[in-house]
Amino acid sequence: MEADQDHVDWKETVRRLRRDRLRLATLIRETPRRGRASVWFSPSYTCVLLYRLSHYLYLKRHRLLARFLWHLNVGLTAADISPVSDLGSGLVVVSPAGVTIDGNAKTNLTVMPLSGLGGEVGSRVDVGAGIGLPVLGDDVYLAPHSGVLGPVRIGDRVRLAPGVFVTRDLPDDTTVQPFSIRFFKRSHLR
Amino acid sequence: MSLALDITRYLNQSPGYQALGDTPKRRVGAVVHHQIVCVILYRLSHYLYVKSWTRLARTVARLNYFLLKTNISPASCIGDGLLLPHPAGVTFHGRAGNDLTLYAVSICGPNHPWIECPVEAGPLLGDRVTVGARASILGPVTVGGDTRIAFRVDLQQDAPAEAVVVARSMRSPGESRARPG
Repeated sequence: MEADQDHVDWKETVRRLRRDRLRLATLIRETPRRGRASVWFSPSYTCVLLYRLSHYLYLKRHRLLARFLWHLNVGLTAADISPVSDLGSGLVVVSPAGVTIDGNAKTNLTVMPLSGLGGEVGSRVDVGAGIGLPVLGDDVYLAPHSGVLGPVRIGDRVRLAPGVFVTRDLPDDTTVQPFSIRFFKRSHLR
Repeated sequence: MSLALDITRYLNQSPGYQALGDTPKRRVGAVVHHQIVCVILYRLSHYLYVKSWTRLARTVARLNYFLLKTNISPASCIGDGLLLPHPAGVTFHGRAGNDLTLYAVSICGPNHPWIECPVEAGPLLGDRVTVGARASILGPVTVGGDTRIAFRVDLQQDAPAEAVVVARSMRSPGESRARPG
């Protein structure tokens, strides 16, 4: 059971970080003893750690410090995760470079390389994450180059295929299919 | 040896250096270029990985990530002549032949959340494959030699040799655009 955003205290932050580490260690598929050090120094965990700290400081109204950690995260891991975003435990960012997250999500969000959440410029709709920002359910999977844009609600266990951008609400257990491709022989192009 | 061929390919492909020729001075200058720094760190991490110094290999790969934002796993096996015109954001976990070109923010890897899984779960690319900008090749697929993956293509199936793969929404590369008048 996740705490509300207003109740994300230090204890809750540490609990979420522990769940993040455990989920990442599961993905790394190492023995627990070796996996521990491997997780701590992984860019995936570094970006989540800096985000959690910045989010905690933001809620404690240390806005300047929160912004510093946010920018440190951008400079160090190239992941732009806003401290305003409320992301549940079990967050895994596989390759942080180029990932942008601005919105809310529940537990076990998986963010693949160069995917993300974002707002819609000019929108005045608020579905719970802030003006123009999306809200995601549990166990959402964002494939590479995919994203969710605008004030939309995404249900639980939704999987986005590579290259897909969603701009409307999606129910639970939905899989969004990828775009199809075409093959040409190189000799036909000459 | 692989690194020397990487630098040679970089010098031949880079228009700025091509006019000046492949001189020793240019080769030394190439070593401090971010493309080659990225390739050097990958080659070093792969060498350490092959020598079973896994932790050191992982450390070098993470240094590559934090310095240049390039995520090439040390287990990945890439042939000679690797070219990364814009290394930032490039992610690779798989196997490839000689003269691989990975353009900006291209992704090659397994089709599930991977960090350090076997490279067999990633794609197998032939010789002289070009992966376009923002393209992704996911899963244990095989891409034939001399194939070009166009920009923004998300490939999750085998591709034949000497092919051009484009997104279906794109115009056919062979057809000409009708001009008014």
